[in-house]
Amino acid sequence: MNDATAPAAPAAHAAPGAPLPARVLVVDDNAINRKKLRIAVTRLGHDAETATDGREALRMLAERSFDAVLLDIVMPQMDGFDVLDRMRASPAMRDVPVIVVSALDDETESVVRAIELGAEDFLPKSFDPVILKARLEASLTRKRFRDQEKEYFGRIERLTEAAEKLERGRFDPDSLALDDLVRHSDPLGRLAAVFRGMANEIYERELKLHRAVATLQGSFLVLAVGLVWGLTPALSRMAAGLGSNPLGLAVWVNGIAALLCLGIACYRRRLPRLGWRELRFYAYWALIAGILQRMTTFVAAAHVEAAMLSLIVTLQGFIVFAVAAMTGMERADAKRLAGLLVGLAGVSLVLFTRFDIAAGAQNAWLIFAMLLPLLFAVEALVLAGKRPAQVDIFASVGLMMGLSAAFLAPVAWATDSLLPLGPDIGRLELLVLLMGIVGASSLLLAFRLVATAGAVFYSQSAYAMTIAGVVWGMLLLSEELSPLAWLAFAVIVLGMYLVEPKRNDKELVIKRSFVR
Amino acid sequence: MSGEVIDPAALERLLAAIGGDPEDLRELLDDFQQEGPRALSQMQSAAHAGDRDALRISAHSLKSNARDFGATALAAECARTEQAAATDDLEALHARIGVIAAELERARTALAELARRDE
Repeated sequence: MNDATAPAAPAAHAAPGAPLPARVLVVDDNAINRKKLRIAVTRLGHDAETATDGREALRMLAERSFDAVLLDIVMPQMDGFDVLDRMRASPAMRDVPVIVVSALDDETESVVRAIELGAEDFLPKSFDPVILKARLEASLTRKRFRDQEKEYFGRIERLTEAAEKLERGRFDPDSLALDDLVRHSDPLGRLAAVFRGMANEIYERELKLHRAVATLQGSFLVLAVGLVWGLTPALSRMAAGLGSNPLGLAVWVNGIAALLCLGIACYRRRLPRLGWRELRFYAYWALIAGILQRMTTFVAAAHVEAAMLSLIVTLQGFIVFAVAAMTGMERADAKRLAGLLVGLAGVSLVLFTRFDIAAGAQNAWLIFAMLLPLLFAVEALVLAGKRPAQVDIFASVGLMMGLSAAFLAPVAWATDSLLPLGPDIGRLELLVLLMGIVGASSLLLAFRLVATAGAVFYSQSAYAMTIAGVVWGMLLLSEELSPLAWLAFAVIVLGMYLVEPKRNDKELVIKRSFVR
Repeated sequence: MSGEVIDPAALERLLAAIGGDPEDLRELLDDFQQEGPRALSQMQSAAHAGDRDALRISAHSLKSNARDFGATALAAECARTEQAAATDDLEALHARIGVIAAELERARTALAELARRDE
């Protein structure tokens, strides 16, 4: 019933009418009888092996598989009845058919007893070869049928297990494990194929939906990060207008953000217990994100035109992509790269039409400005790969902000840049508080984004940030908003669709409403 | 003389049972020349040891060979001994074994004669 494509079909699958040679065990203590039966069985086209007594027979049956046993009853030590007894007690030997060989005249009782003990048939000692052939074939056919039945039931059981998995929402073809069942060309194989095909279809559909939702969520977060982060330059410019300096401002802003985040973590009773490894991580992070980034921005901003700087910052996406590709941290294919390029095009669209980039800066400062996207990329990758996962997200951001404020404070003091604030609440105080909230929430959003969508997708927030910076500048400093900015937004969103958040390796478990 | 000791129909049945190759039959006949005396000596030592079960089994064994080769008288004597092994006194059994020994010799000689004639 199997065609040639069926793999390694065992004897049980042989086409009816063309029986394969069977392995027959001849058990007789009498050497001549043994030889007689062996020759007779071999002449019928089967393979015969012999055992000289019951013990040897049982040992051979345990070691190898036989399709039938020709068993003498009267033997010294362990007779045929004992062999039958032991065989029926063993699950492995139970299904091997036994034909007892006996002289009919004075052994009728023995034959009856043997059949009661489970022997399939009997063969007279002085047998006709036609009778041997008929009885052997009948036994073998029954055995093949039983084997096939067993194999069939085994497959039905596997299919039932797969159905149970399905009911628990696990539609992934890999976890259903039906591959070998599908290869059978009988009705059960076809059923398995249909079953797996439908499960696969549902799984693929759910996976697509899942990814679409993840892209949508990720895109929303990217825009949110960009919008919040893009607020910072505008607020900084307003603060500068009120007589602050960047270093002193940074100490206050980071300190306030730290207090806010740690306060929330405390309220949520999630203040972590920190070891040296965690502390070291937050110290490095503060150094990279809180100090190096800020200082580089500060210095670069003084020498490179703002629009050019924004454009350079967006290069972080490509750096993250390159690192992801090299380390295999995330999927790095042409489609994602194309998405990043589309996003870059969107940003360039705004910057090139608004500013005269060519008049930007000297080449040396441009190269220095390249540090900035590198630092952003390092931050994104470190957040994605190395963050102590057990530490609460609020506590993490609070710790980083607190440490960077602590690092910056002595520098500010030494350079006489400390900003005296309060105790009266004026415009600058309110502004600094707002900047603290903005700084904390942008990092929290970034954190969430990196965790859910991966570093590559996250790095697109640089685009959103640049555009948002332009937009906020227009709104807060009451400049006119160009329709091109809206087009650029659309182009960036298209880029996000192409980049797609990182895929979760975990199997998608589909929640089902019709579970019993 | 061999016609009385060996039933030719039995040998034909045996030849048919093993698939009809005279070579195979000759091999079995050779085996019997060896195995017959061995079965007899097993019966004798069993009788000496008073092991009735061993005597019954070796009589049974020789009986089935004798039937296969058409040694009708030998087979009949073996069958009687097999049945009497549990009940008869040992002396009577020894006497039966003596009869079996004689019948075995006659059967072997006759079979050897047949084999020679076939060659």
